[in-house]
Amino acid sequence: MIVRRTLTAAALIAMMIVGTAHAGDMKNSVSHGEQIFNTQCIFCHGQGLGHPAWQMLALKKGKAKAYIVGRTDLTPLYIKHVVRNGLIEMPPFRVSQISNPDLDALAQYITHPDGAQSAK
Amino acid sequence: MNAKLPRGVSKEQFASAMNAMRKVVGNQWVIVDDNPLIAGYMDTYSAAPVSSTAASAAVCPASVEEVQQIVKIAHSHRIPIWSIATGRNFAYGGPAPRSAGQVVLDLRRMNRVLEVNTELGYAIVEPGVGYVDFYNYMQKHKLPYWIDCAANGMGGVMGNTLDHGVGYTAYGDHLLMQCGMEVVMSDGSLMRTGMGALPNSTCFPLYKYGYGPYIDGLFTQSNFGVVTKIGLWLMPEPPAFKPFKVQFESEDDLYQATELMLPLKINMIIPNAAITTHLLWEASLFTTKHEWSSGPGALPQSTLRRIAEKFDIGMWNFYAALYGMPEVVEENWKLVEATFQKIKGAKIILGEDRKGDPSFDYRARLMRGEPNLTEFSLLNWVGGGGHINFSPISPASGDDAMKQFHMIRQVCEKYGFDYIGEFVIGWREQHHILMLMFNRYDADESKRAHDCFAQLIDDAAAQGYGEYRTNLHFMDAIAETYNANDGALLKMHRRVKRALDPAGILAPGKNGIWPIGETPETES
Ligand SMILES: Cc1cc2nc3c(=O)[nH]c(=O)nc-3n(C[C@H](O)[C@H](O)[C@H](O)COP(=O)(O)OP(=O)(O)OC[C@H]3O[C@@H](n4cnc5c(N)ncnc54)[C@H](O)[C@@H]3O)c2cc1C
Ligand code: HEC
Repeated sequence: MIVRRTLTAAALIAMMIVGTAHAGDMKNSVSHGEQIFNTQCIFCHGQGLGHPAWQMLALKKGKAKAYIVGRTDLTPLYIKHVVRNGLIEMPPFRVSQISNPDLDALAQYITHPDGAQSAK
Repeated sequence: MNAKLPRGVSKEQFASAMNAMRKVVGNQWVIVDDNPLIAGYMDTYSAAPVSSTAASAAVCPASVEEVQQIVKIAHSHRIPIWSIATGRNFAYGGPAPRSAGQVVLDLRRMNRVLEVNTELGYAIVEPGVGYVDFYNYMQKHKLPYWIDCAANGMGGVMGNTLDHGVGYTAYGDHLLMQCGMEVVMSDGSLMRTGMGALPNSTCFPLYKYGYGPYIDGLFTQSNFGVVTKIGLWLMPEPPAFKPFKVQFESEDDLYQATELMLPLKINMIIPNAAITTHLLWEASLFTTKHEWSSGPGALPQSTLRRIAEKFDIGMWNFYAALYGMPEVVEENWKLVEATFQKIKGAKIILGEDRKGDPSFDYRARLMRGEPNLTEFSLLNWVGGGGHINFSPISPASGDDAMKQFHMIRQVCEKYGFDYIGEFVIGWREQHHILMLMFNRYDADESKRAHDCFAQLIDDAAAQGYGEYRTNLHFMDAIAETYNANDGALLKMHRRVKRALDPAGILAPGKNGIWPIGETPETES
């Protein structure tokens, strides 16, 4: 049976894309950063074959560095630079796609997925 | 102070326009070219220099009203604006405008799914709704419909549809499934097409043709308006879904595979946009060119055979799916099996045979409308990021498929490139997609890629083949090939342009349509 239902929804998508990270609430920021990673990055940067960024980084830097989340040699500054400018095969991301606060949360998540405070 | 200006626009005129636009969208949403954030609007993948399509600014409105005001300002200040929706038009130019200095109108912030009607099976979306957003939305609300996405899962519903893009479910012909459009015209006025023109009608996303001429197509691959909403029909989640692959041993099998597949497509036994993909398209998920050759030039046949054997990939690989009631799917499956068993050496493969195989996996996901980016592995084949798609239309016949394949491969090899191609099968034709991969940090290789593409256009046209869509740098060249009756079609497009956008501010040069007084020559 098909149920008649019309959804007029704004909130969800708006939340996903332009949500802001609140300074001081690191746990939240990490889960928010993780959410952005899972919508914008994971299809290339997930682990294993089928993920082109993982594949390319495995080739260039070895499997230990192929998954960027939790890598200790990446700084938030570098991550943000790569996201805004792209890197060889990776396209840049516009501020209309990932806002600056979202990018902060994303870089925080990649460098410290466990929720620890990152060095600035 | 920005360095670039749109052609024919003075510094003062430009600054005044930008200031007026800032008042509409807020300072942070007008990005001029001294702001590092402008990097996001570059075409980082094409064979031509990035500077040749570098925008002077980008403006990001958040509502239809803001779009109207921005267009009015552009109109009064004579500023050319290039609309993008999600702006991920990779292989065809990404978010960049047709020529340097144009201002990008970035609609990504307008990213609401305005309505999903589960009884009538439609959605209405804004320009910025990406495939991943839309998919997550459907999942979150547990809606009994699928979306249909391109293999570039970063793209979005509207931009892809407006550029005549394709996906892989039974609703893969995106423009066919689009119904109802809202458009901001070049003077800033707002128009709805079809039933949307009738006050209080609820049929905007239900009946495409309205009353009088059917005009939605005018706003696709064109520059006659800025589209701010589209309706689209949604595919109900089928009770049964059976994706499959058939691997063929020989390149010559393309002939028979195409001939046998066609009746299955025309009779809608196979209802989806199926594909026949060449060895190297698949192989790039597992390996790179450098593992097989360090020298220049295309890989020889002997190496292709070794790659096919090592990874158990066909020289051609056909992917399709069956959808519907389980009994019907099983009945149709018998027909499909019997059909492809006629080809000597054909290997028929189902999901359970290929657990963990990333190529079967991503194809199956696309055929059920699940966005992913696995296909970007193609960029790893040579590395260096460069890729442009040459995409001629071919009749879905064995003869044409073979002829195009040989013609394209020969030109690729002449310029030192591998043939990396696939046929996306439409209702009666095939979109033949060549991914021309090159290292864009190598100037010689980029130039060869550019020249190779140019020759492909000419050679294809000489044989009566034309492209369905193209990269920014080849828009004029391809428009010129559609030149029957003394260029009557292009002349008509330019006449419409004059009527609908007399000031020539909307996306000048899109698909070869230039405003009065501007020509491709004056552009370069
Ligand atoms: C690996 C790979 C796989 C790909 N797979 C596919 C595939 O399976 N199918 C496919 O179709 N393509 C494919 N592409 C090509 C392309 O990347 C996609 O079509 C992508 O969806 C287009 O980007 P977009 O959706 O963000 O559209 P956008 O970039 O937003 O829009 C595309 C163009 O449409 C016009 N436009 C956009 N919005 C408006 C508007 N509001 N008003 C007027 N004009 C507008 C503009 O000219 C714009 O440049 C692939 C590319 C790559 C590199
Ligand atoms: C279309 C695929 C794709 C997407 C989407 C993508 N990347 Fe990448 N990324 C790549 C590739 C490929 C590389 C490796 C480039 C190279 O070195 O050749 C890369 C490299 C990187 C690097 C550099 C790693 C290093 O060792 O130097 C960072 C950091 C990064 N990406 C972050 C991100 C983030 C964050 C996102 C999401 C916002 C993202 N990427 C989305 C493809 C992608």
